Amino acid sequence: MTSRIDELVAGLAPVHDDDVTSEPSGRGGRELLAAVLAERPPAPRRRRRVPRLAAGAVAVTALAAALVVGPAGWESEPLRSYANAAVAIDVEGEMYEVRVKDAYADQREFSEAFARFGLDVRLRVVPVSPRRERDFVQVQTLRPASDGGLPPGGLTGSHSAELECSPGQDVCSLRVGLGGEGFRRLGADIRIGRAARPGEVYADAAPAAGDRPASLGLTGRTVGEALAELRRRGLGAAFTIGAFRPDGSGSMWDPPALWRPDADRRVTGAWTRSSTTVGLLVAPADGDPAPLPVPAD
Amino acid sequence: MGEDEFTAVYAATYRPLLGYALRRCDSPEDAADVVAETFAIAWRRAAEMPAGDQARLWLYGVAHRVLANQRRGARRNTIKTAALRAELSAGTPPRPAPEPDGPAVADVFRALPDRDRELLALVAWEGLSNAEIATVLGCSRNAASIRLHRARRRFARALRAAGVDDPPAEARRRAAVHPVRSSRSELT
Repeated sequence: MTSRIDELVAGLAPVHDDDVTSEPSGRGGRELLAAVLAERPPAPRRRRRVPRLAAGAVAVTALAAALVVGPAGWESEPLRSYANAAVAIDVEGEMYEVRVKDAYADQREFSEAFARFGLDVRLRVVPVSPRRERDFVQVQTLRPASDGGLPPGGLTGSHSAELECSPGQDVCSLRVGLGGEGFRRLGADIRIGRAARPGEVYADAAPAAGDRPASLGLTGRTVGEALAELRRRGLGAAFTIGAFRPDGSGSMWDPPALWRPDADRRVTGAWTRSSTTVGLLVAPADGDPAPLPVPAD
Repeated sequence: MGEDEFTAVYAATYRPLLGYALRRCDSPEDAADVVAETFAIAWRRAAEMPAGDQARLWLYGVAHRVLANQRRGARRNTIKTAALRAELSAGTPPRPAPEPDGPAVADVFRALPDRDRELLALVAWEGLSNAEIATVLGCSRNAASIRLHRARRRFARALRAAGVDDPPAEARRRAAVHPVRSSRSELT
């Protein structure tokens, strides 16, 4: 004990070890062990790797050398592996692989593990649509690649992510691999999904042209018609201004929440945004609110 | 890790893990479920479980997350624990009646954030050092030390706010004569 506080807490313990009379050799202990051993350990899962390019990337070329950075001052050698009860890290080839035993409980430990290697990585649990609960996992750079200090050709980066969280599973492991200058310089923002509460905006809902799902049937209608239809269904609306090309590229921004376009403008996209609202996309027009500058981190 | 090795770890960690769960659960039945689920996970991940005393810390870490899931309302109950539940219900003494000045301290402790309570309990109830807490919680020793320092400070501040400037000597006396586990001293 180191303090009066510890003594106080010790005095609050409802059960002391001496009070525990159950023994591993007793009936309860033996039956539990038998039940546990009756469950065969699962075979190791094959890892699914999904390489993608970070913003501005020109090639998936992980720069392992740039990432092998030991935390200065408390390790004489660069860290190449690390493990504890919650987190395990391995350097696999050119990638840093971090596995957290329970992504929903160990978010801070996950970030701290990456920090040991000099990487700024955040793990967040975000609300998602019901079909993506405990399935959604997204990896992005933590900061935008918008400053003027980028090298010619942009930054490279690659990542893999696997969330093991089948229905009914309590402890959900997450394995994430990161490599490349992009993540080293801009950090990584990893988001996993939980069931959204009523009204919470889904993190997996993004504006796009057309109806998603198709049953919304709002694309092509006027704004006035769409709003009337949503009112009839007991749903609210949130507008996004933007335009997308057939290949999915384009630009968009969110106007102030209370802004409404003229009733005769056409809806070019609609998506389920939350349990209570639908997102509506309209093409930019003169007099629309301008995009707000992206706030600096 | 094979069955024999796992059985040895089970025998060595069974009682500490039961104590850990009983001190944190509202009922012996819940504690039995936590212990059963913890060992079930340990068996499924036996290849990751360290040897020796590190296994106990590793199991505390697993139990910590199982408890968190239980508090979120998620239960598996895939392992039958009827015998263990019965044993714990019969063998665990009823919780002591609060001392005249005791409830205030207990209430303040219960009102702390889960994270602070767990840190303080790992020291005072499990007798862990900062390095061992770091292993259980999967953070650096430095981080464990800082978090523990802050948890103690928050508890002390909350006690003062509740008007418990001089907590009952009886509570401290109980702790002194009846340690929960053998504690190791470590300055922070």
